[in-house]
Formats: sequence, C-alpha cells, structure tokens
Amino acid sequence: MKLSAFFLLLLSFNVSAITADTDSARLSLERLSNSLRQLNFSTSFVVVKNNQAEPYHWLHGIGENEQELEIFTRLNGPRRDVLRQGDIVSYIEPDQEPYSITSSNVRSPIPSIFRGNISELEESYRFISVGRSRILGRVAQLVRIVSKDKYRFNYWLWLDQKTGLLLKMAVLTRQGQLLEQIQFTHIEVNEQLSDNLEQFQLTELPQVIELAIQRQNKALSWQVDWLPQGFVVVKSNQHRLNSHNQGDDKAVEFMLFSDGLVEVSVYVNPSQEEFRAPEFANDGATMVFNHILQGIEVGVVGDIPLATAKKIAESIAPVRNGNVKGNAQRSIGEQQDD
Amino acid sequence: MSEIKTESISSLVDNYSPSTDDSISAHLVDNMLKDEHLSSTWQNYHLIGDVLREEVPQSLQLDLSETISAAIAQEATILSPNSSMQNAGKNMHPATDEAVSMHNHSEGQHTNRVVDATNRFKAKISSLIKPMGQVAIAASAAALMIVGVQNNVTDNSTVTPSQVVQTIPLSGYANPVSFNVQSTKTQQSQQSKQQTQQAMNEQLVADRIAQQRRLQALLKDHNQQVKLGSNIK
Repeated sequence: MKLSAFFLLLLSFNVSAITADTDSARLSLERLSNSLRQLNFSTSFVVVKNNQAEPYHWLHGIGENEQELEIFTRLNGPRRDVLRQGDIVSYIEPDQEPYSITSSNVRSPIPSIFRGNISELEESYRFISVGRSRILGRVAQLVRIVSKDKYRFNYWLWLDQKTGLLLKMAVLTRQGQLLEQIQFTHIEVNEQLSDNLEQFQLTELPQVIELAIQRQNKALSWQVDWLPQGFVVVKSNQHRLNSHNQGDDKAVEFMLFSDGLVEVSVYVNPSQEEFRAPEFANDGATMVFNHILQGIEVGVVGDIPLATAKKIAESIAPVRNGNVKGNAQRSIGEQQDD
Repeated sequence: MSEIKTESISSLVDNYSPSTDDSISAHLVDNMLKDEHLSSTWQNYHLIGDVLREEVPQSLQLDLSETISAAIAQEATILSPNSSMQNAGKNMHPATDEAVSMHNHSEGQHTNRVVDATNRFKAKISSLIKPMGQVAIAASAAALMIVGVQNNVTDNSTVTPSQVVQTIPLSGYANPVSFNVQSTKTQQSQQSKQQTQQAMNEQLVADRIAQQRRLQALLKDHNQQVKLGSNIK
C-alpha cells in the first residue's frame, strides 16, 4: 500500500517535471523568437551537410522607424545573399537577376518560424527542454523540437542562456541519425546598429516583383490524399519545371504544403513512360523523391524522411468531385491568400 | 576443394559468375573440361535445373553426349573413304548406294586397284587429318557450349532456342579438347562481355545523369517556390 502510494507520488512528480520541461522549452523558444526580431546582432555560422561545410554571415538589426534589417550572406562560392528591409526581401543568386518580393518570411538556413509564432508548431511537435551544455564558449540550453509522429524529423536547438539566440541546431532522424547541423562560430550582440547595416539601410533593394496571385490556386486535376498531421496547403499552381538548360520544360501541377517548420513540394505531371522505379536523393535533411506510376510522374521535395515522401507520392489521386478533405485544404490556402 | 568447385559450377549453371573475377570462372570452365567428375556435375545440374523448370523432353535421354560422340565417331570413319572416292573423280553419291558401287566395281575392275592404292594413300592422309577434324568438331562443340552459356547469361527471354544447344552436356564429349582453343574462345567471349558491360555502364551513367538532372530540377524549383510561396501568407 505504501509502495503504491510512493509510486503514485513518483509518477505525479514525473508528470509535473515533463510539463515543466515543455513549459520552459516553450519559454526558451519564445525568447528566441523575440531575440531574433529585436536584437542587433552580427553572427557567423556554418551549415554542415553532405560532408560539406558552408559558412554564412548573418546580420540583424533595428533601423529607423523600427524597421528590421537583415542580411544573410553565403561566404563560399558564388554570391548568394538574402537582404531584408522590413517586409521587402531580396534574393541575390548566381544564375538569376536580383529580385525582391514582399514577404515576412526569409528563406535561409534558419527556419523562419523561429522568428514567428512558435505555438504554430505545437500541433505537430512537442517541445522538450533537456539540459545545459557549453556551446561557442557560452552556456546553452538544449531544447528539442520532437515530432509527434514518425513522419518528420526532430530538431535540436542550443539556445544562448544570456541572449536567447541560437548557438547550434541539428536535424536528426527519429533513430538519432544526424542529417544536418548549423554551428554558430561567432556571435556579437550590440546596442548600436552595426556599420554594415547602417549602410545597408541606405541602399535601395531591387524592384519588387508582383506575383500574379490569380494564377495561384487554380483548380488542379490531382490531389494528395495523404499528408502527415498538421500539413496544410500553402499554395498550388501550374507552372513549367525548368529541367536544366535542356529546353524540355514540362508543365507540372504544383502544391506546396507546410507544417510551420517544414515545407513539402509535390509535383504531378503525366509522363510518356508508364513506369519508373522510385529514385531519390537527399541534400542534408531535404529529400528529393521522384517516381512514375501508371503514367503519372510524381515528385516530392521537402525536409521529410524517405518513407513519408514515398507515402505522399503514392497517395496522389485524381481530384474527385465533392472530396471534402481536398476542398477543405484548398479553402485554407485561399483564406491565407486574402 | 571439389565442394567449392561444385558450388561454383552450381552458381555458373544458375547464371551467376561464381566470383567477381572473371579469370576464376574461366579457370573453372577449363577445370570442368578436364575433370570428368566436374563435367558430369555440370551435366547433372543442368538436368536438375531442367526438371525443376519442367523443361524435360517427353522421352528422357539421360546420356545424350555419349550417343552423339558415338554417332560422330561412326560418321568420321565413313566420311574419309567416301570423300577420297569423290576426290578420285567418281561421280558418286556419298550415301553409299550399293547398286551404284556394284556397277562401279564391275565397270572398272582393273582401275580399281589404282584407286585403291590412291585410296590407301589418301586414307593415310585422312587418318592423319581425322583427329584434326575431330578436334575441330570438338572445338566447335565447345564453342557452341560457351556461346550457349553466354547466350543464357545475356538473354533470359530466348531460353527456348538456346536450350537446344544448352541441354546437350557437350562438356562430356569435349573433354579432350586442347584448351588452347577454349581459352581464346573464352577470352573472346570475355571481351564481348566486357564490351556489353561497358555499353551497359555507359547506359547507366546516362541514366544517372538524367536522374540527377530531374532531381536537381525538382530541388531547385522547390527552393524557388518556397521563397515565392512565403509571398502568399
């Protein structure tokens, strides 16, 4: 009797400990989000994937009129920069004219949800605060973003105790295999805006291109019947897929899904071949999957395990009239449009 | 040792090279041709395979090779005097028509002795040539076997035609063949095999490049779409 009471006590302690972990993890992530939006910082980090290391500079600051300024620069190879002044994001890439779009998100090695509303992730992920360790000569709090199902990867974040900023990030499979990591090599937080950003504030970004919104969300003839819990349609369209200077562009139906942290693209097009065995490659945590089944070519790209990509690809089916799930998803996409 | 050999033969029969090194399988074929036991193993394995695949003919002739070798031996002896007769200028059918030969005998009785003498001389020559001919037959038979095996390796869809060549366990007869001929044949077949392999490799490389292009295009478009996609929110 006494023993069972003791166990009950132990159990209640454990439960409260777990919730405490989750709460502190959430607090840490919220602090990260605030720091990424409000601090003037200048950092360097290295993305390690595919046995390669890519170094980046990342500057962030608050300019005049509380406008956020941000620069991502890849330091090796051809220039690949992301510049942001408030809502205007410019991409400078080697094989393209520089362009700007109006967006609150920045496509960079750092997932943009970390600056946004972290609680959006709670549908698909659990937050667990694990413990402290020393990263970049600082005291770091390890927070794990753990997928609730087996269809996604897990994310480990080491957050600076002092500033709340990210010091290290790792993407792992459920089995604990490391796929990709970001290691910060330098972090500097200042009261004042750095000189670089001071200059950047005065430069004019490339012309903002207006995307033809009406072309988006066109009725498609294919739909995805299965997606992991929490994924919603971000957009869908038909466009031409440029297959590497061969001139044989092909029209694809395209759908983009997101669970907040991870984006998954699905491409569908009829093919002349009847069947092609699944082929895939991965770039760090990003899986690229492609197969032809019954004359339909399906491509799936995203930071998801192979099994998930395969399952999504196999769930492609012609759009049936009155399909509730597909319509529901599509309406979410349209609402986000407005 | 012999167990390893029989195992290798088994895998050879099953269209697997017993080793990645082609020279070893060439040695194996050589050994098989020399060794009575191994060649009978080869024969038996094929028979087992045929039974399993249900490709055994209606009347099962277990030792086809002996009958054939006997038949060839018999034919060889008849062949040489006949050809010499033809060479002697007699317009005679090789299929020893008795009436014609009788007529022939009565017509030129006295010349027959001369012919006989030349015949004897030619017979001597032919007896010299005969083993060569046998070797040639054996060599071609061995080559046929190799071709049959090669065919089987490269193309499974044409099993039925090559089966005709293949079911004859010619190795039983081809034992005494000087493996000089054999080895050049295998070298040739290896060369052709290498060529086909090279062609296959090139095909594979082309496929891989095409695949990489496809996947690269998808990845690139994904990254682009994610950038633009953030526009919608």
